[in-house]
Amino acid sequence: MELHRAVSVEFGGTQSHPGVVESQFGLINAVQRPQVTTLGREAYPSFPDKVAAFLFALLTHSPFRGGNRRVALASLFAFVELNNRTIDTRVFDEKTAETLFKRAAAHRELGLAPENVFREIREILGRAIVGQQ
Amino acid sequence: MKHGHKEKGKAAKATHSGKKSSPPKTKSKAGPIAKSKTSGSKSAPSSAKPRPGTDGGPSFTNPIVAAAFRRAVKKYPTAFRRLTD
Repeated sequence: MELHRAVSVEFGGTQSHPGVVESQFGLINAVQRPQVTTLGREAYPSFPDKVAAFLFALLTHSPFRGGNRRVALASLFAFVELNNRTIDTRVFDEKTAETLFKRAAAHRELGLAPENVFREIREILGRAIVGQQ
Repeated sequence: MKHGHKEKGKAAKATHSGKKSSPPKTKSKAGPIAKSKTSGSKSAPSSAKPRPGTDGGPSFTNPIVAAAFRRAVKKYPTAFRRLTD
């Protein structure tokens, strides 16, 4: 919520809606996605799995009114740094981030299989997330 | 009759305004000073809009999240501008 407010204030322009949640279900779903278990086992066992699951859920549900991709990018950094890790910007550069987020958010319109997009995010984040020195 | 009074009144006002033309001259002398003051205030607004994520910007309850947001904006400025819903 705070990140959405901040992103809307900084980049939203006149049409921004700071802190306005359109889908409460989508937001809760995205936040709880990394903790999902299937048959008593973690569905996303490793840290990059959890980050990818959270990002993919946030991008597909689009719970906020505008600025969902920006919030996803900011929350990626927040998630990673809250867990004492960092993003290697040489691996996850601006172009990669932009392309990946656009593909994930519009995978239905583009006719892309969600599991393939998730795998793509997971693979890139697996290389980009590094422990803090 | 009434019209006549009005015209007289207008004429009187005109004469008064004509006599009081000296004060604007003094104001016009003070004009450049006022302009310089406004021009000085125009150059100031560089500090009006705070940089993203700084103290004047959005507030966060968690300082780690604030630092992460600041870092994200710093590292991905183009992506933030181009990612639109």
